[in-house]
Amino acid sequence: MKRTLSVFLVLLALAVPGFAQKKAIGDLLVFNNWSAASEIGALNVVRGAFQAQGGIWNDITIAHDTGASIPLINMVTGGNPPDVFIENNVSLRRQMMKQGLLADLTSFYNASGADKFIPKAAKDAMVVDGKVVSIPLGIHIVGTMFYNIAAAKKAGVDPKSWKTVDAMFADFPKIRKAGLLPLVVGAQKWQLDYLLGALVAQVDGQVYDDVFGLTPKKASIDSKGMRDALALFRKIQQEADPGAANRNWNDTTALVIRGDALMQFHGDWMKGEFIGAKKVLGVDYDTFFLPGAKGVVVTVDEETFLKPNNDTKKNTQELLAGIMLQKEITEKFAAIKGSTPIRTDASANVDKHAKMVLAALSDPKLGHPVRNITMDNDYAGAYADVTDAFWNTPSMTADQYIKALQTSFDQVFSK
Amino acid sequence: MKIDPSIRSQMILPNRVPSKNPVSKTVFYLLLSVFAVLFAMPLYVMIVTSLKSMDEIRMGHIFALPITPSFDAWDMAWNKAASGFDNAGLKSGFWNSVIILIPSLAMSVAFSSVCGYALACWNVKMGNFLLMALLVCAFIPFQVIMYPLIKMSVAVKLYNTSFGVSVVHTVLALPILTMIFKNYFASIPEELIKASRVDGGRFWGTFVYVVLPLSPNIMIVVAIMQITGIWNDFLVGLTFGNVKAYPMTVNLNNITQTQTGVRVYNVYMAAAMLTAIPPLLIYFFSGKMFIRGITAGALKG
Repeated sequence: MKRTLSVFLVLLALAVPGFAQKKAIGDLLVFNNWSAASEIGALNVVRGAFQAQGGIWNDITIAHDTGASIPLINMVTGGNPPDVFIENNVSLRRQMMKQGLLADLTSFYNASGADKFIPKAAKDAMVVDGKVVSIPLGIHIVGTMFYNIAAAKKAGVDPKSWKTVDAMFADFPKIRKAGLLPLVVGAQKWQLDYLLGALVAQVDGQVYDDVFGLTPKKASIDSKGMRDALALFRKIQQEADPGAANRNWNDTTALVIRGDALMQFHGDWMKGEFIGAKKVLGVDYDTFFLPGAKGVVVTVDEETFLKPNNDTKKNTQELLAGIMLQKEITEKFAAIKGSTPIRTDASANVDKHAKMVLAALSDPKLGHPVRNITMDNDYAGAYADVTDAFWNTPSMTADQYIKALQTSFDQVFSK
Repeated sequence: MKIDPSIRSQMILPNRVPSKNPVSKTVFYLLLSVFAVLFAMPLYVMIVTSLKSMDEIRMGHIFALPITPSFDAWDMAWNKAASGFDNAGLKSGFWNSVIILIPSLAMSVAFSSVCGYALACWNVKMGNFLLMALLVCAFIPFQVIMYPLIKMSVAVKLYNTSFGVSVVHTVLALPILTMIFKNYFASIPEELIKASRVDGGRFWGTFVYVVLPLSPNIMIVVAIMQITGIWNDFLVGLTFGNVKAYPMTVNLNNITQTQTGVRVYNVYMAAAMLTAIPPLLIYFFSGKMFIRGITAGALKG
């Protein structure tokens, strides 16, 4: 009798979760700050799969790129919060975590078996204070070189042959002689701040983590890695064309697409512009990481889950999270968005650039989360200010930069 | 009537271009043309960009005329642009904006005109204090009181409704509109109000039969101010609006904002112009009344 009962209980325990997952699927309100056609198209892959499995999808789209998601906070204040939202900044998520607003997906994530395929940088982005609160959608690499193959031929250089950064700069006079701008960037504040971050990771991944990571160390600001990166940054500034000031990244990309410039160093979302202009990767343009990269900076787009208030909501959230972690979904998503899948094994149907990214990220030391995921908002603002000043003041030395950033560091963290 | 030329030369004729001196005339028109071109230039760039294809835009000649003009971008912006998951374009937000605009226009004009009338034409207890309070309130920025307003609108069940947006617009506009009406009504001769009272007109009778017929100009001014302000508003609609029925400006923002996505400038330009058209049309059709209303009361001591 006892045994029958225990068998029955075990069966019940096994059946209930299965039953619950099959039956009690409800609706989710998705707060979304993406609105470009490619971004929406990619999200529609997730939405379609979610709806096919019985989920009811409601959404609000409010595009913004300010980092502080005011409409989201308003909805929480007003007592009508979404269930899922896109917001990468860890400060906001930590604040919400402290108030007990975020879902804890740790056990679900561990049971999903996806862990061994998720690159370390993405894992860093998903976790707040040791708990999984977000599921990643896709990856971009902040510092990637894109170049025009026809322009390279015209200048008589082969970017793939550069073994060091110095070798690259050594070819610049030759490129200029052919009437081309060698390396263009858009000198907007956020682009400059991404650019320097990418260069720091390029020369020393450890210094990057110590300066831009979750627990920044003041001592690392004054380091060889930082000085080397600043020297590179200055070099790029001196090579920049006069039109760089406040130029959008996509207008900068247009220079490369038209063949007025040889290459651009920026986030690999540039690929979307090339695809939009009907250029073919490997034929019209190609990509590479700066030679000798010791680290690359990874942006992770992710959906964060707010705490469910009943089991149906929880099941529905887990259904969505599970879909987002599926290999085929991540591949389809990446193909439309122009990003790289978040699973290192999702390399079958992606282009050669995404393959290069996935290969790089399979080395856990190489990828580092971008600073707006990890960095304190005030410190990040100060860093962007100092970096902007350094770019626009050619007489500013690395010492002055380091001193200014350390002062800001003290002001922010000595509260 | 003919004016004798000798008298005419002695008359002071304002608002006339100096007709005698060809040099000053040329300079005058030259300056006007330069300013007109300066102001029209951004609009010109918007129009030609909206008619170009993205390939043409990538060439980077922003002032050039379109090689193969097409209205595809306009169609895209109105019907198909991605502003949410359904790619429904701007048109979905148009009616939402209208639904927000009409009640808030009616309520704000109705309430503030009555308040202004009471303060201007009747002896109100502590009227000056009220006026002072209105003056102070008119200069408090909305952003400062946004969070208390959210909490208040939740308490009266107006949060996340289109009518809630109308109510917030009305409340925010009341101080300044009341002052505008008060100033205008104060210029109505006191004798008219008194005469109305002698004839048995009381508060509402005087308002409806004497004051309102005298004030179409100021009504137009206030209406234009409100239509422009409410139509162009983004933050109030975004903060208090129905999540399923955001106004057109939120759609426009969704269409034109992206950090790492592809930027389709032709669609952006078309969408911006489509959003700006309704208030522009109002100006065109009532511009004369607007000027008259603005200057009415301007010379009052």
